[in-house]
Amino acid sequence: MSHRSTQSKPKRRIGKDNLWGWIFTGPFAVIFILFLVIPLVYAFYMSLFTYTQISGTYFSGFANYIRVVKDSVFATGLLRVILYTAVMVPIQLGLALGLALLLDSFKKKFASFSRVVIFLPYAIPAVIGALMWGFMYSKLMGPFTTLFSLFGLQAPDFLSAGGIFGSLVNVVTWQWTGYYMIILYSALQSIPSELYESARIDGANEAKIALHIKVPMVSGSMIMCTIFSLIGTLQFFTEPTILRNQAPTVIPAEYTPNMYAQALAFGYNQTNYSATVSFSLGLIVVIFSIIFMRLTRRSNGLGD
Amino acid sequence: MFQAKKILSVLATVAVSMSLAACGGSNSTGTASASADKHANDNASCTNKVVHASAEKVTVWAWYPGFQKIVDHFNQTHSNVQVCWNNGGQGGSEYTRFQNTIKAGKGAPDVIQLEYEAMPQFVAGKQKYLVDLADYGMKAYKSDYTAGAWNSVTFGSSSSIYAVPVDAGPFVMYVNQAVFDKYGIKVPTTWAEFEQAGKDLKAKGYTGKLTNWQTDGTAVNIALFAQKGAQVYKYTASDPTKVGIDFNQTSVKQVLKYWQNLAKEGLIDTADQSSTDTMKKFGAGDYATYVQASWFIGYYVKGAFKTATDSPFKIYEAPKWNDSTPDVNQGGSAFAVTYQAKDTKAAASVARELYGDDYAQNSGVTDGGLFPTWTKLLSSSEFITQTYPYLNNQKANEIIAPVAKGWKGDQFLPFQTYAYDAQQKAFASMVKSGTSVDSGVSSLTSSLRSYAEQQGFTIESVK
Repeated sequence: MSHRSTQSKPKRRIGKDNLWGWIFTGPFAVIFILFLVIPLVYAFYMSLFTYTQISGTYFSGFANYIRVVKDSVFATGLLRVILYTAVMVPIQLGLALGLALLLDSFKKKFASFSRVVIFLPYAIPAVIGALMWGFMYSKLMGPFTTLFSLFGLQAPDFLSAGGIFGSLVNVVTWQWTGYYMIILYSALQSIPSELYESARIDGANEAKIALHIKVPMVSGSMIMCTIFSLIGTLQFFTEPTILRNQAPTVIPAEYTPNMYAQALAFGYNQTNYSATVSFSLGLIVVIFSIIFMRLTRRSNGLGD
Repeated sequence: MFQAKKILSVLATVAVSMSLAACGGSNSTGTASASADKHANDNASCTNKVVHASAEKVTVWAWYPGFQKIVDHFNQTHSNVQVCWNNGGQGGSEYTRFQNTIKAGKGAPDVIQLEYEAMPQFVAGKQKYLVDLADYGMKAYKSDYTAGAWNSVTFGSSSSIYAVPVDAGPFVMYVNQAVFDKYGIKVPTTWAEFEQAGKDLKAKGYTGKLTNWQTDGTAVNIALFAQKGAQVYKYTASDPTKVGIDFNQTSVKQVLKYWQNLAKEGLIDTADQSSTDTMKKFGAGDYATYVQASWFIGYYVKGAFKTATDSPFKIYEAPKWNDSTPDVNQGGSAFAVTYQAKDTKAAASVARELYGDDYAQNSGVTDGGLFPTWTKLLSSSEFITQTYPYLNNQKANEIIAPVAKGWKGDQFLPFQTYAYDAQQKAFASMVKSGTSVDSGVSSLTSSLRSYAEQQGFTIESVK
């Protein structure tokens, strides 16, 4: 921090360097403002109004935000995604790290093939993936019924009130583990091999190298993956929305805060309150991310 | 201090200008006003090919099966006005699009297909987005439509008519004849016999279920309540700021307890209607009956069986509680004229005349699979004796037509989508997680009422 501030202080000249800077950032800035800043400001502006069928649209200040705080539907959805985060993030990251370490150790043999196979689910669009799993979870048409009956067992009811949590965790983990694995794997590639050599000379075995050298060296990437995963899970939307077609009474329209926002805007004609819900969720995601970055300040490399 | 004042005044100005801006968009008049611009649609793009290119165009959104034929017929038989048709999406997706055009203030069609249950949403509150067709001579045609359909487009008012009825969904029972014949069981005519049939089937070794009570069902449950004479929703166009919501009635509870009990005894399935598994089971003969609207044959029965002869189903009257159980309905739709209509008068005549002649009505029935609300057709012997290939060539209209004529009409809320979602959750918890019917209906009623109040409506009694 201190380093940067001393640098930017003294000279302020509008020269050629500055102009080129603007030209290079221009295209990005335009898109950034057009598709991020303006929608954000507009959503916030909308959230300050209230629309009801009886009285039309009127300015209501922060009344919608007070309603969000008291809204038990929003709170339930939020708690649900927090629970998903608590379960899903460690599973995904744990698996991704394990697989990355394995692939890194078996470099030559069948690593590139396995890498592609593990990464493949990420290349499938989320909607298609969720549709496919919806079919596989089906009791009558899915393969699990046949598979379980081979052992004389009954397949679990994936799309029931009790089974849906695990079913959704599975879909998301299947989809995203490969992606995080690739990030961690490439971070592992950048570790200088001299470190391994000196560790081996010191008598460390492969497990020790993995645990004491590889894992600490990729912790920065791990934290980045965790933030991605955290943000993604708090905004959980696509998979439950698709599976809802199969089981509407198990997954209600307001299952997650994002789904709630969508139902409000397009089902219940409450665009303004929907904007409030979205904006509040955005704020909560930002807060969560900041807390997480603060907690991991020392190892994430984002602090200074 | 000065700085703070300045900031405050700026904030106040911003707030005021924002509220003004928000008001500016909406029309302050309460009713949809008339327009008469004959050339506004000259460049509208249509799915169909217009026959008389120089004539005035009226834009229409509809998703009826076989509608292309209806449009072409209209355009061939009218030289002064032409229909420009587009499919604006089916059901909910069309309503969302329509709602978006209302927000934008432009882009809505002149004439729009709406289900009866979706109409209150567009005529409630500050502004009506549908044109009152009473101003365009629609009253004279009252006897052309069944009483139930007419009441559904007038919302209990005698002076306003918000749409032209097209089809309906008389409530009947689909019976898997093969199952009943195999086990030698009489097809039930009352709900008591219905339960007994389920027990008998189970005792005789039928491995399927008596029926499926759809917890995600929407209008189907309203129809089941209506059979008991219970009206759960009330909304009238003459008093658009008031709504009635009441599930906390003895008759509603009786119906729900009946189904909850059947589920407890393991006689019925409680699967979601929209799940693909449910239709798979239906096709596999796992349900002995299905109590549903007449349109179920077009949308589901045909889809569940490869050929017509594979279907073991026949239509019977829906089971009754007693002799005074009324004929009820599930679904159906109509043509409304929107407030954005470019030439309101022309749009009103198109709405009425699209299915206005014998050719169009017959095509709607045979090509579109619609169940008509047109009294003349309902009484014609040709219609009554029509056979249904998917129902073992049964002359099913002999059973369905009296139900269509007996139906008195239903009322729905201006926020029916929300109400249906709430309904689904409440009913599912009754058969799936053991919530008691009494506490379920009272919490459903109070949560819907508080939503209505939050939306600015006043609560009235449903009676």
